[in-house]
Amino acid sequence: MTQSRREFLKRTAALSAAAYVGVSLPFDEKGLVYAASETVWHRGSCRLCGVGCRVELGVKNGTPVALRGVPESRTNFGYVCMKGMHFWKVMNHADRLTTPLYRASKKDKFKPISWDEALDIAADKFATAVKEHGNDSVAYYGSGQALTEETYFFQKMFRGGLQTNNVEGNPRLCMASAVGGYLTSFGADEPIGGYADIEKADCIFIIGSNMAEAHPVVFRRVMRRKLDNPDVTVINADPRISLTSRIADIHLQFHPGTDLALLNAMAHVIVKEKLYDEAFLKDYVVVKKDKAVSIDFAEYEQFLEKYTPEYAAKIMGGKVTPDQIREVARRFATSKGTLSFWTMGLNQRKQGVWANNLVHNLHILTGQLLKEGADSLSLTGQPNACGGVREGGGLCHILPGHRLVAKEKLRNQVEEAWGIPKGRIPPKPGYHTMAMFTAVNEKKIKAMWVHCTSPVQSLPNCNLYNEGMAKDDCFMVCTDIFPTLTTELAANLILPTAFHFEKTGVYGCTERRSQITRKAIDPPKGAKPEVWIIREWGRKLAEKLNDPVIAQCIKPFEGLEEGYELPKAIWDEYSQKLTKGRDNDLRGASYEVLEQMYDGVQWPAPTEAFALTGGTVKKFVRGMDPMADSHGKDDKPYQFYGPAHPDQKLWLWQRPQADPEEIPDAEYPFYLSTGRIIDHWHTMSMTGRVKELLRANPYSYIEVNPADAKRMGIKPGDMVEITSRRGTNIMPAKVYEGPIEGMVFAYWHDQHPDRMINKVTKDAYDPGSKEPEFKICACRIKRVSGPKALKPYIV
Amino acid sequence: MVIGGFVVQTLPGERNVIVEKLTSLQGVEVYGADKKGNIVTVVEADSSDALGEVVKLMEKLDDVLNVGMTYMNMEDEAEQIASGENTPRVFTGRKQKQASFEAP
Repeated sequence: MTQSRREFLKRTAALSAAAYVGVSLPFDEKGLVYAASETVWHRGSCRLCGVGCRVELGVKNGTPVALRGVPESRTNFGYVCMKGMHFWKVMNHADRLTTPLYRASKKDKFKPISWDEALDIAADKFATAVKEHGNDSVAYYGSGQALTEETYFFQKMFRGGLQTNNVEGNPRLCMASAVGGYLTSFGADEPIGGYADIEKADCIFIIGSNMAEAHPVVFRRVMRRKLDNPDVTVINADPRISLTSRIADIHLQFHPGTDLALLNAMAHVIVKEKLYDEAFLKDYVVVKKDKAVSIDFAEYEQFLEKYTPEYAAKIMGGKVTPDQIREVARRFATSKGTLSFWTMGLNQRKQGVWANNLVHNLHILTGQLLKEGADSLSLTGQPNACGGVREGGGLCHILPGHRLVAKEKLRNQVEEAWGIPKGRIPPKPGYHTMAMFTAVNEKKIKAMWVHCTSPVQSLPNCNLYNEGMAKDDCFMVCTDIFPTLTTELAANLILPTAFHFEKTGVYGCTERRSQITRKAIDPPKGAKPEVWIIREWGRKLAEKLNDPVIAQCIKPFEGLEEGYELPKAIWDEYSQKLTKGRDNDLRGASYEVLEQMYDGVQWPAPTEAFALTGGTVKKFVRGMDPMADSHGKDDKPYQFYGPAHPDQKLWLWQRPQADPEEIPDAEYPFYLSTGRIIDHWHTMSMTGRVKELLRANPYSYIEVNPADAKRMGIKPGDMVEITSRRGTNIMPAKVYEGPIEGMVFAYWHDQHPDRMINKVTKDAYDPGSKEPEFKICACRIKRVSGPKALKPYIV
Repeated sequence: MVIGGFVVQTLPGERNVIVEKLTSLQGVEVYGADKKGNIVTVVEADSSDALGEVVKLMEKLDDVLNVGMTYMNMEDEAEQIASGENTPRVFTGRKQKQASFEAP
């Protein structure tokens, strides 16, 4: 690097940092001598988490060399976390898959084959399964990290082409309860407000979320809000003291699974002390109990009688006092704007939907909604669980555009948009995720496509489902960029795919914001974008099944260039035809518009003009949400036009405290909970290959409370065996004031067979959302030895 | 050469002390600061590993609240990796086509 280039880069680095905090420096970009840099910057989204940070990838001579944040983006304002800063190193990694790999039996070794052979095998296996065993013997299991174009195109092929609703994805494991909560409380999926409420909030309530590690860049905004305004109250409710808890004014620490009592007790205080918004309730709210039976407010008050703060504190245990509960409830109700955040702590629960309802209840009761600084904001874990899976029809019971499979009129709308015969899409939902993998175990699924996810590691009680996945009765195709535990144990056919920035497509993040990432570099030779794979496979399927309707499904996309034109055509079909008039109307968010935005467009955005302003900041508010104006039923300022509530009202739900499925007993006396840490993403197939991130956290630990550790003779670093009714792990101990006494907490990213905590977790699930209770089960722990030298492991 | 741009956050009162401590670290230059306690810092190092070590030292300083990276350029290293000259070795590569995956 020449001296002048070095100086140029140093000044550029300084200017970048200065820009974010508004500091003037004695030079600017014009004064720099070395003007023409050969680095071209390409704008896109970060590949990881649901925040939706906007970044620019620096490319020099076709090679990615740098990354920077986009300061104008309304999600991250230029900031990026360490995973975001480094994820692009995956692109040139030596382990990238570059050729299709095939083995007839899962006991054989993989052999490289050509793309033509591979697509032929894939088509053949699915066609044969359908012919010999029926349409529901095939299935698709996708991902909240797939581009919207990919999820949409896959589900079109499976529903319209192969005539099965066995379309699922890993958001079933993370966001399904949040979806259920939004639909039953507000009548429509996804938050009413968004991140902009942070800078206006006066009370921030963080429950069941470790934002500091799982959504660091949004957490930075919460921290900044508090630093700039010391009067802002931050309340954190978590059985574990996490990095998020460090900034809380009040941390409520309690036994896992007792938070339903806490939320009801807060409601009790709000009702008893008349802190609720009577006018808001009168105008906009009905009260419901089980099976959506309407009740009057007096009956709800009666139900809340028993949830006194004293009752709740007793159930919750820990150090929570009734007075703390009162204080939290009062601050929540009386602040100028209360904003709640939560993620898996509430969603990955047997009563996940109820937990979501109870948080929404607090906002509904107090009218802390629809105004600046007030919202109940479910943080989404993955970058495209919202955009692709929840909005694009990626779960077994929903079609694109927030339509229910079960409604004939809505199926017909989709069939018409696709130009396929009425009645083509099957009328019943398919298998939900846990049922799907149970069906694999029962040999009912003969051919399965697993896209961009690793269920061998990420399913709860994974040993049980790995049995079925490892058998040759289920032919499995995996599309991925690296080998994973799933490709190695369960795949017959591996298809190498293009990575982020190596292909074009849209991600929709937590706050209803769709953002585009354009192709900046070519994928490694041999790797292909998924949209091409689906089209080529689809054409072969049409031939093998002699089915012109399958050909019709791919017809609008034939002959299009795969790096840009093809995904654009798919996005156009989805946004223009499938979201038209739906509550997630994205017609204004064409590629042309999205490419002009530093960030993206929040739906609903039915017109380009509106989309160019950024879209809808607050749903349901006349004057801010175009659909509140077009779909409103009266003159009131708020219009709840969501598809799930025909009465166009918000629903306040009577939901009791209910225990998790498996709580500690004499044999298994500890609560086990699991979660993420900042350096690693999910199953670490990507972050484990970036040496800076791996070095920060080379393997998983089990966090043990110091009081428990002392009692059991466990010292920091000791090897600890964790056992449940389902399986065993051995992990090094981190003795740390993190989990509450009687609870242990394990990080779930590790691929090593001894440290894969999902062998130990339980696959109980929410009866409504079908989302598993990863967060709570019972285990016992035992010291097995002193510290051992451990090596990181990646398959 | 790896170059990173950072915003180092400290409490407003501690700024001058922190600026001195930062500039005493090898490869660290301070370019500006504001009243809120934000310090515009640039760090140069021989490799991205070395940069990481310096960042760790910065984070460990008393009264440093946060070190936020806003820019990083490692084009020398990236070009070496792309040309095969420098292969970052974390594992010894994929030893076998199929890992043995045992259920307990």
